[in-house]
Amino acid sequence: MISFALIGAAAVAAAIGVVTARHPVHSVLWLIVHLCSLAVLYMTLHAPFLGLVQVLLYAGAVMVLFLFVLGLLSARTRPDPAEPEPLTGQLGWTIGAGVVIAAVLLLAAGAGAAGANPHALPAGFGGVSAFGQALFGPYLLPFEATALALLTAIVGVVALSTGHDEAMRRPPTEPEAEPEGPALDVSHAAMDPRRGVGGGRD
Amino acid sequence: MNFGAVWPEIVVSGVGTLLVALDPFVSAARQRWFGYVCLAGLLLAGLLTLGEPVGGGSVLGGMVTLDGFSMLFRLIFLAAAALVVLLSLDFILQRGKDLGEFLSLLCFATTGAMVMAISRDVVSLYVGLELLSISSYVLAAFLRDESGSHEAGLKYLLNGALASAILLFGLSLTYGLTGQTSIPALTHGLASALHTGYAPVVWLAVGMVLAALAFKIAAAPFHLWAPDAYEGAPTPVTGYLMVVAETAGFVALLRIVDTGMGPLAAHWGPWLAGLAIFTMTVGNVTALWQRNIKRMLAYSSIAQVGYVLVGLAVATPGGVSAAIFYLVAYLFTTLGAFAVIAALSVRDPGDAITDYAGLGRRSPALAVVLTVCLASYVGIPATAGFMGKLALIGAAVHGGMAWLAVGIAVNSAISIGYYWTVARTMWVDPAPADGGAVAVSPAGATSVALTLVGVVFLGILPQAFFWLSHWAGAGILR
Repeated sequence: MISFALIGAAAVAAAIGVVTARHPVHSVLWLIVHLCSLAVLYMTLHAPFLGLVQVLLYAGAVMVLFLFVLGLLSARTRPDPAEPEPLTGQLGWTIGAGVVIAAVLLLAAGAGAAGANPHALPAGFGGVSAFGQALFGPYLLPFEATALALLTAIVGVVALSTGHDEAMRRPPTEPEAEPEGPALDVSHAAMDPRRGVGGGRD
Repeated sequence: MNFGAVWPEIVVSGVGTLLVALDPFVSAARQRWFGYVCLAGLLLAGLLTLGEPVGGGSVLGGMVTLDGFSMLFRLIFLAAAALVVLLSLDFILQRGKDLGEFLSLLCFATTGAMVMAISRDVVSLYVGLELLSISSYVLAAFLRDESGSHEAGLKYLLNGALASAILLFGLSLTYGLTGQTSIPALTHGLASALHTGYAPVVWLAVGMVLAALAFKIAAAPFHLWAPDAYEGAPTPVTGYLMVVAETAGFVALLRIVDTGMGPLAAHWGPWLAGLAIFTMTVGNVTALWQRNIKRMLAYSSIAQVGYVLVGLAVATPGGVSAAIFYLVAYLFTTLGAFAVIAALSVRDPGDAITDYAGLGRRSPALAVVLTVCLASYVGIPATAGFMGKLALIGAAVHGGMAWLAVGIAVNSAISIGYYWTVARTMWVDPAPADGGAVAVSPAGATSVALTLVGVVFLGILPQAFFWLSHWAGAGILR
């Protein structure tokens, strides 16, 4: 019980760190702490294989991928500390909702603790064999649907990141840039005092 | 392990995978064939669905049930997907986009919706919802060169992810309370948890699930993302999201709330009733001010969601079957309207209502179909919408919530205002000087014709569908 409280508190604290950190890399580091605490929780719940997978895949591989992407995109940009909060008042709402949920759950935990009666675990629970039996037995349909969701995500990334270039490479069937041309020209001309508005292109 | 139960899902997801695999090897000129392959796959899946034995038992480790409900909703999703394929072929090709990727995402989304329809366990239902949602986010952003589509995808993603998180939190609480994820087991477990000192947690779980699913079906006050997402998404995708994504949300509501939380109906019923009346009023009143037809139809779809919620709020078998009938009517009406809008915007991307000026003279057939669909939205007799509203009003009166029936009637009167604006623009206002006749491709014409047949058939001979929706809804409330 005490270990659960300690690890749970660590997990919650790390999760708060993820959303409050201003630098994306710090968020990822907090997320690693959070995922590792979850892994320890799984181990205390007699699911050692799930805990190991959590550390290897999530805290390891997935987070490295996150850091790669951040390194490619935005790791060097420094967040502006003076930047105003884009969603005003969200902190108050979040704390309020969190306190209400925590209060309800703590009350329920207090009410249920007296009558708690943990079921006896079947032999081999949480091991690789039991895990595989569950994943490819009763949970086969959701497992396969999850695989399809990952494929969808890959197709989505390809569709959203390459479509743009392809449209640029393809010879345009209609003169698309025509309507924008004159408008841009006029604004340039207006900004440049050496060229009159009626000056036109070079 | 018996895979016979999920052959339709295997076929639809297989077609999606096939299109992805073939996509790089097929030249742009032959991409139209993808559409025909996709249609053939959806048809085959429909035939396989019809061939399934309807026992109501559980298969695939208790994850799946093949009852009337799962069969009817699978067919609804397949029909909607096939109509959207028809009306999107020219729309996507004309914009120089990759049809293979588009259709494969459509297939994956439809698979997700079908998995939701057959689920009798919240785990598979949630995974189906995520599969549908992830595909929908990408589809909404598919025309990423247009800023509206970009914005639509991002707004849909952020709000959808938030709703999914809340739904998962609520479902994890129900698991904590009952130790079960199977929906029939939740029915008994939640009712007994209510009387063992866990009542506050039960309310928290029910509230979270209701709020999250209200997000998914875009019920007010959880609808704020919907108008932007529906306006910015590519027109065929908007029709798909309005019909399939919202109907899938109702599938989740019917399975999790009406079945899984059925014994608590006396408690959540009034909340759903309030949600229904607020949603239909907000949708109809806001629609009065819209100038863009897609945005107007977005608010109109919010209003329709309010009508369907009436059937769920009364929590009677009659209410459930009326809601299912209204969802079928809504499918044909909405896809009919969007078939016309997509046919018109194949070449001309204008979506302002004023762009429809003089359509009655430029293209009488399209104008007639759009007018019939608008009449069905209002609930004019001899259209699908009239029969749907009749069933919902009857269910509300029999369920002891006559004030909801009054709400539907008053809201239908309000809605005449904005539907009439479109009809008047089409038939009375003069056509612009440069507006010639509108060329419609065979695929577009087929989708327009099929939806028109559906709207009129349901309006004139609804008995068969009333029987079907009654049959499908029979197992929902226990």
